[in-house]
Amino acid sequence: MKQLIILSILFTLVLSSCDYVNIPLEAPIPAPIDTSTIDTSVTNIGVDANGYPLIDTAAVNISTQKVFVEEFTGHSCTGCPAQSDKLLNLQADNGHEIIVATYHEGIFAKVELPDYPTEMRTTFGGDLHSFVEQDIDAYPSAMVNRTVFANFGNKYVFQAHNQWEGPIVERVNQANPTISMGVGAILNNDQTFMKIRVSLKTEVNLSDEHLLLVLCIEDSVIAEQKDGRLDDSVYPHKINTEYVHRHVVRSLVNTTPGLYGETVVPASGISADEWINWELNYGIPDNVVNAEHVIIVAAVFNVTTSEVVQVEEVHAKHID
Amino acid sequence: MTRKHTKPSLFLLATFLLFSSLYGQDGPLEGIEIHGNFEVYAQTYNEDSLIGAPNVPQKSGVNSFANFIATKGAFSAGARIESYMPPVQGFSANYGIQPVGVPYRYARFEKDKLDITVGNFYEQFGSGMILRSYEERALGLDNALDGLRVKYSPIPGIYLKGLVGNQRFYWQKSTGYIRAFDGEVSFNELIEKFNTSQLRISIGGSFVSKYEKKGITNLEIPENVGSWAGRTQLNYGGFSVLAEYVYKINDPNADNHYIYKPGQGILISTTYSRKGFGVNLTAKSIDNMHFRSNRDAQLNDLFISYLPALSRQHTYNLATTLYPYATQPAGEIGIQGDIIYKIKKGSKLGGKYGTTIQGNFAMINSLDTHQISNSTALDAEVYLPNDPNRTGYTANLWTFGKKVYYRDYNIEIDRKFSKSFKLKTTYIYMVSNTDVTLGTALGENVYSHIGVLDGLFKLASKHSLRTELQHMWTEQDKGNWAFVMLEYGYSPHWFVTVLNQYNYGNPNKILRLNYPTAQVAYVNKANRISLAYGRQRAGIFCVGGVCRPVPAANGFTISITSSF
Repeated sequence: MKQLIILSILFTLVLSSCDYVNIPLEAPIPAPIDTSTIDTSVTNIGVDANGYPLIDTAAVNISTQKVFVEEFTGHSCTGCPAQSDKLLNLQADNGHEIIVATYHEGIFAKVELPDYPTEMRTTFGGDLHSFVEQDIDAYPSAMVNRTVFANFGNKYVFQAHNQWEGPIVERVNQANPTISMGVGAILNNDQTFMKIRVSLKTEVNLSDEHLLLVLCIEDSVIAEQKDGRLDDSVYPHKINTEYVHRHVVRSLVNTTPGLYGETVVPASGISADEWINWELNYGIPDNVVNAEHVIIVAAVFNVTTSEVVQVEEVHAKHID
Repeated sequence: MTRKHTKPSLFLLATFLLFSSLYGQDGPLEGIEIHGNFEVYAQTYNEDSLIGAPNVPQKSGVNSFANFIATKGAFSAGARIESYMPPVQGFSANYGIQPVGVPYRYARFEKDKLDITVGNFYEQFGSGMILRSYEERALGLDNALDGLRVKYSPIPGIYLKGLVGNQRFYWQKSTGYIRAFDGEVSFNELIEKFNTSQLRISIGGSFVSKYEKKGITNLEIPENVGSWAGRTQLNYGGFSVLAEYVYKINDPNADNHYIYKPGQGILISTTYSRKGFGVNLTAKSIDNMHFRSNRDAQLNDLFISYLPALSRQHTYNLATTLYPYATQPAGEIGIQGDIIYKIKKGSKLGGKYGTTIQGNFAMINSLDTHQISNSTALDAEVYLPNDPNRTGYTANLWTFGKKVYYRDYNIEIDRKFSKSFKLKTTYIYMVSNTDVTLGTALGENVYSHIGVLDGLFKLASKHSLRTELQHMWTEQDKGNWAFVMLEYGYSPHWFVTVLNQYNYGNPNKILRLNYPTAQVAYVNKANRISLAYGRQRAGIFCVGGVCRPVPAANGFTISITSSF
């Protein structure tokens, strides 16, 4: 009898020993993505017969040239989050006249287990980083309209907010753009493809070749980030594993590789008031975690100056 | 990961010395019997850059152990003293943390169908798919349990087992605890009128749970992971069927990238045999069945379960050591068949002394799976909107996936031609996806053909000569190999062996190397001493589908085994 009691105790111990877990990790609070602001400059008013978005030409921004800020950062960069926050504040303060693309590249972006497992580097970002690496002294760094600013130390790449704030502010709200642009992006139902249309309008006669660069950006990506502002006792090694990464460049959209995109205005030029349409049925890359957070950014470069003449973005959406 | 091992060793050692001194004397300890065994395995190391044998600073490694078992009536107690000074190369350096110690000790009481063990013990439920605690010294594997085990048979035909404990982790213990229960019913013993029936049926069931505290992670970790298994065995005449199914609840661990998919496995084996003929067909399918007492353990450490191998355990050198199969707990599906037929002696085909033909095949593939989340996303421990339950993938336990893991088709003909000559001829065709099974980076499967001639010549009374000629043809990896072995025996005590492996087909001419070894062994009753000198090729050594890497070495090897 004693033996049966011992066995019964063991049996009870065993049977009561299962922990079923249904949701291993709660869904994060919806990411702070401000899509309404992003879409104000361009309105999708429907789709054409092939499913591409129609651009409301009457709503396209024709009054200002927006500013394109390309930031280089990394998940193990201690000081980057504080600087990125300042950039985001600057963007918010200027009514989204500033369009940000963030590349995770360089020594702080390497995947290093176990603390930094998330790969956020991309082929395009790597190529661009290699191209400008000699100008990068520290992280985060940023380019503003890919312009060399003679009045800001003749610099092309600016380190941190103190350096990039001046050039950005100088270029915000510049009137009389040479090109106006509208962008639309329609997600298919299973979120594997999106149909993208970029419509360009020449506001003046253009005599130079112009290139169009289209990027796939995922906003509000949850992944680890070292942040020097954090409390070590709450976040071991000062790593926030649920950091919200904004404007993460996931891939080049253009089918033609190139750091400046592909030709949309030929070297022979084009007269004013012409509309140019660019379309692509784009397969969403594997590194995109949430297709509903995808933003398509389009930037137009003047080949002669290699500078951005217009930039626009749109949040990809479903057609209901 | 682990906590420090307690040290009752001095006490036990003193107990055994006391037992020894009293052995054979009058007194309360009169009648105590002490048995045991002893083994030393030592290697010396010379640098040999051609084969990749490094300069080992300590120049030698010595693994040794001694088991002592004392019994008196219903009581028994035992202990094993182990020493690693330092560990032989290829065995985990963790053994070297403590040069000498007593990692295994127990006391046991067995009487009236009751069997209680406190301390260390080994145990297996069914085929081991849910629980197997065992020692495989050649692999450096010992996951002995330390705790309490009770076995009891209340009535004939019913067998119950319960245990609690943690596992050996080199010189420490796992932080995870195991609680387990197993019951088996043998109907032929239970029901009197079936006692003599030709039809024999038994069923069994097990439940195993491990408890391990949650570590530092964002995830909701199940601290108690349960697993259950059901099995049945049926025999009728020469026919038998054994089937076992095991299921494990969510067990996120380092092996599966912390997914919450349940694990499962099934093993079905059917056998038919009669005099001179036997056939067996075994099928197995495994999905996500890494089950360890520490969720972050790696290699062969702290496995609670054992997944039986589904490929033949070859004995010939080239087939055993170059491309063996390592079981894939993450997922595999396969079938294996054996057939053995003995052609009668005196017949035309069988010859004067008879001939035995044995055929075997094994086919193992990946499981048919569909990936939901990749490992990078899972390792990031972030919320996955497309996989909120973090199941990682879906799998069909009954369907072969496209990826070939292993193929082995072999036939062996064993014939005695005369009183003084016996020949065994073997042909093996193997396909090995070593990138999956052995962690190589070849990028292609290895297709190999192996031929073996194994002859035994009886030269004169007490004098024999055994020869093995082996050849492997392959266009992949290191190319063709040849192997020759001569073993001269002067029975019953002396054996002298010379052998050589030659990688003459290596695409890199510099690496067309010989691996010669010479060995002399002396055997006397339960004692065996051998001394060898030669080159040891870097490779993989597997037992029952569990493998360990073997580093290249050049030097002497000494082995002493003894039982008392």
